[in-house]
Amino acid sequence: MLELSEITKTFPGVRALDAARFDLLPGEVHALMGENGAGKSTLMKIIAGLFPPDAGTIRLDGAAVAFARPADATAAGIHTVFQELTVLGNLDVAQNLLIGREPARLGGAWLDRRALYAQARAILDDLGIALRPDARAGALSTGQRQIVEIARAVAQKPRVLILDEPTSSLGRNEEEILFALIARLRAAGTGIVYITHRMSEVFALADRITVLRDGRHILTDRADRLDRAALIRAMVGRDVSEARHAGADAHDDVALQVAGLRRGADVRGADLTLHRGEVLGLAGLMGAGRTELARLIAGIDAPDGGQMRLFGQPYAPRDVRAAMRAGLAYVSEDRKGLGVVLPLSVAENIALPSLRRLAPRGWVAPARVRAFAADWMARLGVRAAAPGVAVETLSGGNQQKVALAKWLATDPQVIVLDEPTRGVDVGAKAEIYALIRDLAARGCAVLVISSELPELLQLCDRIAVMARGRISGVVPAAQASEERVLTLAFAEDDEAAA
Amino acid sequence: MSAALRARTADLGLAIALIGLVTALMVLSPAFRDPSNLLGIGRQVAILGIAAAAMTFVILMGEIDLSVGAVASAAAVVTALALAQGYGVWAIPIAVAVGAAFGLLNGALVVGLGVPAFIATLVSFFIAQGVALTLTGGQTILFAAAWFRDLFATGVVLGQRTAFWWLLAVFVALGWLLARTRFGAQVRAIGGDAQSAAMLGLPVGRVRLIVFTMTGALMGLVGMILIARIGNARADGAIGLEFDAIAAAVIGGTRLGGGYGSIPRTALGVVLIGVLNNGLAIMNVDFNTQQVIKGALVVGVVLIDRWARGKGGPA
Ligand SMILES: Nc1ncnc2c1ncn2[C@@H]1O[C@H](COP(=O)(O)OP(=O)(O)OP(=O)(O)O)[C@@H](O)[C@H]1O
Ligand SMILES: [Mg+2]
Repeated sequence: MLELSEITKTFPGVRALDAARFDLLPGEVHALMGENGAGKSTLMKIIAGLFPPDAGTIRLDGAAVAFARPADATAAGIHTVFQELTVLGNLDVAQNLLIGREPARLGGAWLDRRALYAQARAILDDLGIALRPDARAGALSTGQRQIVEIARAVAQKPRVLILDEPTSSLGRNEEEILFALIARLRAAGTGIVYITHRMSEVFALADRITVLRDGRHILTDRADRLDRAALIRAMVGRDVSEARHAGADAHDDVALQVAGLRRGADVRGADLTLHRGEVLGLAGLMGAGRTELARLIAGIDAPDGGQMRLFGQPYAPRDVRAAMRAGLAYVSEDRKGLGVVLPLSVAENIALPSLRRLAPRGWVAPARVRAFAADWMARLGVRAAAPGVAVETLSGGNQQKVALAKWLATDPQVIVLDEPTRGVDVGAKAEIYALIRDLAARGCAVLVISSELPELLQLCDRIAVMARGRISGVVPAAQASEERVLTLAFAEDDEAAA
Repeated sequence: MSAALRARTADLGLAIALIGLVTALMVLSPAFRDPSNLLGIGRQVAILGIAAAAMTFVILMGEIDLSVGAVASAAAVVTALALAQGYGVWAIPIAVAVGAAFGLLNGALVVGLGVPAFIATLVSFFIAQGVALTLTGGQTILFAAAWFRDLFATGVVLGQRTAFWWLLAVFVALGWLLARTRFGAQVRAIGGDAQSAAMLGLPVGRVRLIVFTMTGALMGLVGMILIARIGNARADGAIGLEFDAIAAAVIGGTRLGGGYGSIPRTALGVVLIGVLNNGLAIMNVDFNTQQVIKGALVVGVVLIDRWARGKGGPA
């Protein structure tokens, strides 16, 4: 039904797409894969009418179309869940769900509030989403915002649905909602484009797979004719090791001690011990309180009760600066909000938290900053035209790498990473794991929050599992299995129900 | 205290501040509590109120308009000249057109050329001032059109001056536009995050253009009320209005940077400033002290607003 051919798109300094092609059949899930910066999102933005291609044609049901504006694409039944969330924090859930098509009389001159909330309620119920229509979107977690975003697209009964990394911050429950939804839409004949970096999802969901590399089309094939290794090779152009971390020696030196930490209903008495030189994973379901706990440790929120000790000293940071001075760095899960400063350049972003060290007398030497940033860009494989380009022009995965580089570069003694490889491709993931291991080997204590269990199993020494605001168990990664971790993640749920 | 409760307390806080202020002035000043003075406040705040209501739209949308005072002044001068030269009722569409033209210029600079609103409206400020000064040659322009003065300011309908009725009409119209129409929802969405709004397919450029033009047109109305009240026009008639308008909107909880604001709350801010101005003037507090008190009020309200939204909450 949808056919793109010879699509080329050039941005200043980068050719994002180079005669790329892609096609979509009704009722299929077509996965679009490729490294960070391969051009996946750019291709989807062209379909969605965000900007026109420099060359190439788009055909819908055989007829050539040109979408000048996003509204043209939606009018043609093409709806998109963008990689960068577009949920508006100042509006509530219902207003977000029905934005641009609020129920109204007199051609939009008299909004029908009651119908707005009734329709939103119906959408949420239909999709099995437990959110209040009048909850302010700004107060939702990243995962909840992602669900709202998905619900908004699905509620418009799309003919073509584009999902650009929809699961990057979803927990298991939400993922299941999404997968059920996809099955339903597929049965109804909707064509679905699915972009993800998670291999397991691809093989579970996709009928066909297309791989892009450097803006060029590499292959399109039925999913059942490809295997994981072949797919990775097509994406990265080489083999990638996914072996588990061997497990380092035991450490006794306690870096961070958390005891009975509480805040509201999210964190209800968490205990945690983080040793020097270890990578500790924090697993749990969405809503278990992992990010909330991290925010307390990072000094963003103040706890209601409990104590923390950092290298034996009482530790109660007033704000992020205080935490930084104490030697602790925090990389947030929400890179748009807290991670990077979008309009600033890559170099400035990376240097920002290290300025004290780079410019001890207050003078910033541009050459020094550039060299420093260039070094870190190389270490993490950040793909950008130059260190001077604005972070907002980078692909999603590359923005994530910048957010990471920024804090890794501060040479912290303790670092808390919340979903550090969100939206990062397989090849770069391996590099980031190596960097984290390297940091730990040099004595840094690392706490990693991740919703991807394979990631934790591969990267960590020990895995702590959080459930309903408490730590329900800690297992050495060598003895951990997905099953064991999941049992712990659900643990207290059952107890509470009983 | 829960977030919702805190937000409500902040709303209430504004009303309580107003009631407290009025009570204090009533007790302290017999001249203030004179019924004719109290009714007069409604007329005095007409100009500020209309400008503040328009400014609420602009700020809510994440923009700013520094040209409102100069544009209202220019419209006032042109209208007074038109009346003096016998254009009659044609003076009314002329006033609105002059204001709308400057608003359109603002919108075109912001939307078409991507000039930041701060700069674009500063440009309009200078052009409008230049136009007004050239036309007046520094003189005060007199006109005699009793019907015009009655229509826009001095006439009495149901015991209130017409200026007050214009203000009320603008408040109702803009309040409805913001809270009850799809257009209003779009303004709010753009103020929340313009880039996301564009990705969602909202007509961001068109909405911005309309809001700036509408603000300009309303400044045409302000210009007419201004000269109708005093019967003459000067090039600097409404200079400084922009700051009072921003202050009233912010006191009413409109967030600089966009996304939050409402017309009824701005109305509360306008009344607060109006009562304060009136009370301080009646009690012979000198002008400079008045300014300081107003400034302190803005700071106080912003602090309460921040407290109400809670520390560290998502923006
Ligand atoms: N607005 C822009 N201005 C300049 N360059 C851009 C812009 N948008 C994208 N690019 C560049 O185009 C290339 C492709 O980016 P794109 O976002 O399509 O990658 P992607 O495949 O979606 O990657 P990811 O998996 O990280 O999301 C990148 O090199 C990126 O830096
Ligand atoms: Mg992308």
